[in-house]
Amino acid sequence: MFFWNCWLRNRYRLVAYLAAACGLVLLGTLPVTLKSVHGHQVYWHPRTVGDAIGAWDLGVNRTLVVLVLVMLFFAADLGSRGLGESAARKECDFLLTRPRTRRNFVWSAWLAALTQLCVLELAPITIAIVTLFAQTSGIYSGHLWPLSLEIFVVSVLVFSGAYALTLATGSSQSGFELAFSLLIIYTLGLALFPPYFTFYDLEWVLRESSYLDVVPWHLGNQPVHYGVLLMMAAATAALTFLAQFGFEKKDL
Amino acid sequence: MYLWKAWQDSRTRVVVYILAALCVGGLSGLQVVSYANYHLQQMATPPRWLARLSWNFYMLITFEALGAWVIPYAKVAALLAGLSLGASGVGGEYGAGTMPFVLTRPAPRRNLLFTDWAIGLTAIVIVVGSLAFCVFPFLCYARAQGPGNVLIALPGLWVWAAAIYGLASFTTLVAGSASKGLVLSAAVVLTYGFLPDALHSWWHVEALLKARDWTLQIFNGGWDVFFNGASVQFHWGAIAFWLAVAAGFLGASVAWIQYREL
Repeated sequence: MFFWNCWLRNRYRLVAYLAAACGLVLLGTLPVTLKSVHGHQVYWHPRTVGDAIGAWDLGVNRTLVVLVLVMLFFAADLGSRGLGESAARKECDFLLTRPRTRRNFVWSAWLAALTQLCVLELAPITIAIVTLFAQTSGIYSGHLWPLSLEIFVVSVLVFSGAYALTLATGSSQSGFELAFSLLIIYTLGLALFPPYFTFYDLEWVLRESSYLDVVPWHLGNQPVHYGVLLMMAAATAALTFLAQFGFEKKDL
Repeated sequence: MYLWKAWQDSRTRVVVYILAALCVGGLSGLQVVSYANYHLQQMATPPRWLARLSWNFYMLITFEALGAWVIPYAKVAALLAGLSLGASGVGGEYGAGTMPFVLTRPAPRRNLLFTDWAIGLTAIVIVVGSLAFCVFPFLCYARAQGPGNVLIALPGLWVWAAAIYGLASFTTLVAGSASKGLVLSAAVVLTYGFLPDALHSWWHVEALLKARDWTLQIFNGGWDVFFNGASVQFHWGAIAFWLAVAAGFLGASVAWIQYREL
């Protein structure tokens, strides 16, 4: 029941983020087959597989840029909701009188947010695939799926961090502020101290969110580091258990 | 009286931001010194490109400090302080459920906003300033050429932070919640940075990018001045633009709070 409560509470927020993400993905994928002819932009249909793969690579890169921005922002925002919003609204006293364990509330809110993150990840990807298929008459997704998985794992990590911080501070504003600050500091760190962050190829995605297509995209040639993904999944679990432990011990 | 209450409500946040700014400013200063030491060693056996150019090495240190370290950090400090303090002013009243009480007091409603703005802007000036002033001792130690080039960036950063403060304050007032106002204003800031780049890169639309770059020239760091050897200049137009944006948000907030229902 609390799971649906959390879902319904954030439904308009999810719709707003979906509209933004799908709109940006359309903006990014529609012009991949645009060509300048005599000063006019015209659509052309790729005649060879190489041309089609080139168009797909362009579209996939732009989709990933949009996904990084929207997913990370939504994750930080969502992490400060759920139980954090219940604490902010002073609803916890009523909530905790229900015949459920505190652990149940923590994990229900976490699962509700996880399903919303899934929706936000899959809907723009579907739109990107449909748009690119319509333009090229083929599917050459390339590194779309592995990198989408990376973005999803990082988003869940950011969400869990914001969730734990919100429960620790007891304020959704403080939780979002801290999570947003950490994201900015991380991005700034990428720009200022690149040698310390080159262990992970997602750095290119984050860089691309600043420079878009200005810098060359090397993601296609880089392997996905599944070990790093596992470490991030472990950190996500640790943060959520920390949130659970903190909520169970909190004097409410 | 409300001035004292508003200060009591926001002092922890302000002190945390000032301490963070002092720490980051100190770290930037250390970077300046290590950079200077590195290049002093290079000067012993100057590479060809450095020997060929006749610029002043100490100018290099000053502009490096300004462009590479102080401005990116101060930009983030201004952004975070503006968002956080802007949302927590009236947002604190909403969160505590005291907004109806505050609005029914026998004082003009606009006083509430003016007081919040006075405290918020003072805090922003101190936070951003403490980050920049922290670098001065290190610049003197590295024998950089005067602190004027760092100082010249400060007004731009202050008015930019004031505009973000105004945005966060206005969105909080309209949304009726600090967290919603914070998220909305952060989304606006991200869109302002991202969308012109995206439209330029994807659809070759240049007008938005040019307009945005003109407004953000306050963060240029004087690189053009440095490489062209021209005198350091103030970006009056951009500073006036951000000042007008801040004043616009203040006016909109006053209009909103004057005519809103309880």
